[in-house]
Amino acid sequence: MIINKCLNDNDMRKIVIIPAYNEEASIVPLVESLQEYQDRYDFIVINDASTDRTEEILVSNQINHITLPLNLGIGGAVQTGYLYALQHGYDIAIQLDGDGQHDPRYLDSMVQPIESGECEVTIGSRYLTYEGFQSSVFRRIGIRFLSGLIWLNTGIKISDVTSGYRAVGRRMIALFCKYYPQDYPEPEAIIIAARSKSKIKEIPVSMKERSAGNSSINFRRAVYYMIKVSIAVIIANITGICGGYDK
Amino acid sequence: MISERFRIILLVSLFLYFSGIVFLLVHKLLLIKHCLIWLLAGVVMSIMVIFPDMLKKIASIFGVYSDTNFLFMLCIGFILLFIVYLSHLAMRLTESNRRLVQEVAILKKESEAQKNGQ
Repeated sequence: MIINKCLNDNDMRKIVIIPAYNEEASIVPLVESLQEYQDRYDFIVINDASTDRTEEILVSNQINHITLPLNLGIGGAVQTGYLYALQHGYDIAIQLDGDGQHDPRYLDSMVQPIESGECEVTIGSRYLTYEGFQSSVFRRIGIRFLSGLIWLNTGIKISDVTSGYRAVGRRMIALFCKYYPQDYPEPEAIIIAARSKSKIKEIPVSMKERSAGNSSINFRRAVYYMIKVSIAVIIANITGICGGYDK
Repeated sequence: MISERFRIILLVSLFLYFSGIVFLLVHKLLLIKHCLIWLLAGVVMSIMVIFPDMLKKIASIFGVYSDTNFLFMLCIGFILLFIVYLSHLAMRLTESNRRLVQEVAILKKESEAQKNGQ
């Protein structure tokens, strides 16, 4: 259904990576919303060993997808997408979550700064214009804290450090194939990009509330997340300073 | 009662311990999620060493006369629990491995069948 190549060979080849775990209710509406972009973007759904009907739906609708035999989590699923992108020679990879929160109408504005050479990484931020779904107060406090921590470590100000709506250029695709955090990867990936001397730009986006399914984050996981990600950000920064991402 | 000399030895050991963990993390020889418990253990040990009176009070609550013995008892108990956890991790890895081997075998068969079909 969605396996079109760019019509113009001079254009950068772009792929949208859609990690999906138990998204039987949202995956088809999402893919249908991407139809109008299929002349410029390829798409690949990474089915992270879903236990619901996600696989059956992907197969019956002939949606381009990879099915992981074991659940690897969001980090492993997205990294699989980057591996696919690298092996198939894509220039830009855009991560777009399978839960329907990320609006495809921002795809062009996400990739434009990378195509023009202005930066290598773009992050779709909910907190530049504060439009659309903003997530809960506690979550926003946590995001502010992590944003401050990343600023302390790298000097880079990113308002939406947990946004999974991001685009990366070819060099970062190759780097993320080698080094990509497995657990709650988004903030740590920013540190990896920053320490690899990659320019990062935020693009204002509006996100929707989950169209279906359940978030994997509950209170206990939120506490673990904050502790783990805070340590991960610091360690990733030290690793970067020591040249750990140059190999 | 912990002697001052032993407290200094413990503090230096804890410093080396935390440095070792950071070294392993920075060189990607250890996953953060597996080392969180070690970091927590190190923090608890540090508190006990820096505030030995606290250790003495907690030891007496448990009916242990010697705070050094109590410290070692805690360490041994923690290590035993962690070994049980590692056994659980090993079991999960074994199952993942088995599943991957099965998937690869099935893919190989399908690939050969396709080749022969062509």
